[in-house]
Amino acid sequence: MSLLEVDNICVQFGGLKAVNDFSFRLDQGELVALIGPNGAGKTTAFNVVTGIYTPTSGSIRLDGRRIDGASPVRINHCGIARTFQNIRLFSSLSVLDNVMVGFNQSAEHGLLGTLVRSPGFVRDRAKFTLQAMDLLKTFRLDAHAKEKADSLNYGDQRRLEIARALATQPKILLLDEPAAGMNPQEKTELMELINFIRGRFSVGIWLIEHDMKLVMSISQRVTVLDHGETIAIGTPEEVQANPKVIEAYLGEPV
Amino acid sequence: MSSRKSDQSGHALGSALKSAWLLPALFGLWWIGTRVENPGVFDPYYARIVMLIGINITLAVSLQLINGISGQFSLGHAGFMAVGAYIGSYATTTFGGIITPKDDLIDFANPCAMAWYFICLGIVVGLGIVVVYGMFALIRESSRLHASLPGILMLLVLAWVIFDVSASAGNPVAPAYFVWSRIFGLLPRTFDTLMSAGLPAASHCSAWLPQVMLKPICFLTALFGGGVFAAIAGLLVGLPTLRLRGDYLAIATLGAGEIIRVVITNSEPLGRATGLSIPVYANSAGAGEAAHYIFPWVYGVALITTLLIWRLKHSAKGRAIAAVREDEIAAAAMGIDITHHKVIAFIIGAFFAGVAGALYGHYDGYLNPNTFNIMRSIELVVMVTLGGLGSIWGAIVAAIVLTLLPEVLRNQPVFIKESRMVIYSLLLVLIMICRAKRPWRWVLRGRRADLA
Repeated sequence: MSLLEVDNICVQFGGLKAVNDFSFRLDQGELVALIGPNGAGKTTAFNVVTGIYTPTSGSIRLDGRRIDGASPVRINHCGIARTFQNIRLFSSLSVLDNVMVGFNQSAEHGLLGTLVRSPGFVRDRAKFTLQAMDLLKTFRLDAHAKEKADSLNYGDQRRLEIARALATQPKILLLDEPAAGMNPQEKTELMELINFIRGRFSVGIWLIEHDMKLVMSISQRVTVLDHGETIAIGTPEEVQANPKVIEAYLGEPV
Repeated sequence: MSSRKSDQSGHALGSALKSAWLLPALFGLWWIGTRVENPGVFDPYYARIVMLIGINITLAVSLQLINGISGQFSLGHAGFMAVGAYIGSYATTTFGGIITPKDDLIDFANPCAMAWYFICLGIVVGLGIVVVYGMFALIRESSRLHASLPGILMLLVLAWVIFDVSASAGNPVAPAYFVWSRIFGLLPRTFDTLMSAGLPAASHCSAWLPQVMLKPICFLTALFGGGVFAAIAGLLVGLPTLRLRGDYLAIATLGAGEIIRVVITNSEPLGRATGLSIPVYANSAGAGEAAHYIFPWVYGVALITTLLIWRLKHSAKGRAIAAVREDEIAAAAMGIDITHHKVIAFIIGAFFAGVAGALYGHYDGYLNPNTFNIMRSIELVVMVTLGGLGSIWGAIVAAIVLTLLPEVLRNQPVFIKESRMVIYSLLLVLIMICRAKRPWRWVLRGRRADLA
C-alpha cells in the first residue's frame, strides 16, 4: 500500500473532462513528476488532491484513509501541503510570519491562552520561532526574516512558499512549477534543495515542472498528461523514449 | 521596530509600556481624570467629549480587528453597539439599583440576580439558536432529497405560522396564532420559569456581598453581559455573512445592523422609538456626575480592549487571521480554518462594541435606536480607514481626532461654525487624498502599520 493512492479520478466541468481516469501512487521519500503541455490538467490534478475541487468520480487515499471530497483544511491536516503555480504568499506579512503560520495547527494554546499570554502560549511562541528560523536557514532566507514577503525577489519567494508548506509538517509535498521564472543557476540550486528536503524531511514530493532537464534529472518516476488523459507512466528514460509523449509534448530531438 | 523585538522576547504588557506612547498617554489620562472627577472644575460639555473619545477608542479598535486585521469589511458595528447598550442598560434599570431623584436614596442593587438574568437569557437564546440552526443543518447536511424532507417541512410550517400570524394579527383563535403562541411562547415561558426559580437564591447571594461592592459589580456585570450578547449577535450575523466578500459582506452587515436597530425600535420593553432611560448613573446630577463615576470604567475598558486586541494581533491566532485576509486559498492550503478565524475576529470585535455600547448607555442615561443608525457605523469605518487599516494605534489617534474635530470647529467664529459640517467633510476628503498607506505617519514615525 502506498502513502498516497489516487484511483481513477475524473474531474468534469460541465462538458469538459479536465482530468479523466487518472491514477497515481506516491510513497514516502519518493519524488515523482507530473508533466504535460499547457492545459493538460496538471494543476487540476493537484487541486483535486488538495481538496480545492471535488472529483466527479474515483477515490483518493492517504495512509489508507479516504480524503477525496474533504476540505482543503482537513486534507492539509492529514498531511498534504502544496505550493502554487502563481505564488500565493501572505504578501504583507513578514517572511518569518509566513512560515510561522504553518505551525499554527500544532499549537497547544487556545484563544484564551493567547489573550492572557499563558505559559503554553509563551512556550509555543518560542518553539515556533525557533523552528521557523531553522526552516528559513535551510532555505537560506534567514537574513530576510523580518522583511515583508513581497519584498523578496522572485526566486526567494518561490523558496519561501516551499518553506511555508514544509512548516505544516506534511507527509506529501506538492510543488506546482517551483522553478518557473528562475534563471539556470537558481534552477540548479533549487534542484539540489528539493533533493535535500526529500531526504531531510522524508516527504514524498509530487512535482509539476516544465523544465525537462530538471524533471528528468531528479524524479524517479514521471507521469505525462495530455488533454486530461494519462499518456505515459514510467522512469524518465522510458517516458523520454515514448513516441506518444514525444508527439504530444517533448517534440522530436533535433 | 522596538515593538517587534520585544514581541518575541519580552512580555506584551512590558513592551507596551516600553513603547514611548503609552506613558504620556497614561499620564494624560490621569490628568484628565482628575479634572473629570471634579464636576466643579470640569465643564460637563468637556466631560462628555472626553467620555465619547474613550468610547470611540474602544469602538474604533474593536472595528479595526474586524475591518483592518481580519480584512472583513463590516458596516454593522453600530448594531452590535446597540445590542450591548440595550441589553446592558435594560439589566441595569431592572437590577442595578435606583437613585431616586428626590432623596438620592440608593435602592438595593442585585448583581447576582443580574448575572442570573443574563444566564437565563443566554440559555433561552441558545435554545432558539440550536433549534433554528439544527433545522438548517438538517437540510444542508443531508445529501439526498428525502433525507432533507423533515427539515424542509419544518421550515414550511414555520413560514405558514409566520405569514398566517401576520395576516391574522390580533385574532387569537386563528390556528396559526395558536401554534405560534405555543412554539414561540415556549421560550419566554422557559425564561420566566428559570428566572423566578433562581431569583430568590440570587438575591440571597447578593445580600452576602459587601454593600460598597454591589454597584461596581452590577456595573461590571452589565458591561460584560452587554458584550456577551453583542458577541452572540456577532456570531449570528457572522456565520451566514462571512462567506461573502468585499462589497457583498459590507451590504450584508449593513443590513444586519439595520435589522438590529429596527427590532429595537419595535420592541416594547426597550422603549420603542421613544427610547430607554437609564436613571441609575446619570439622572441625579446630570452628565458631570455620571462622568465622575464612569470615567475610570470608560478608559479602563479602552485600555483593556487595546491590550487584548494588540495581543491577539501579535499571536499565532492573529497571524492566522491576517493570513486569511491576505489569501484565503493559500490559508486553507496551510490548514487554517478560514470561517473559524473570521468568526473569531468578528465575535471579539462585536464583544467590545457591545461593552462600549453598554458604557455609552450608562453614561448618557438615555438610549434611542436612532443613535445606532448607519451613520454611526460609517463614522467608525471612517476612523478605522483614516487610522490606517490594520493599525491599532492609528485607530486610536483617528478616534481622538475625529471625535474632537467637530467640537473644535463648533467653537470657532461664526463663519467657520456655521459651515462646520462642510469643513469637517472637506477635511475628511483632504486627509483621504493626502494619506499614503498610513495617514498618521508623522505621528508614528518608524512604526510599521502592521506592527502597531
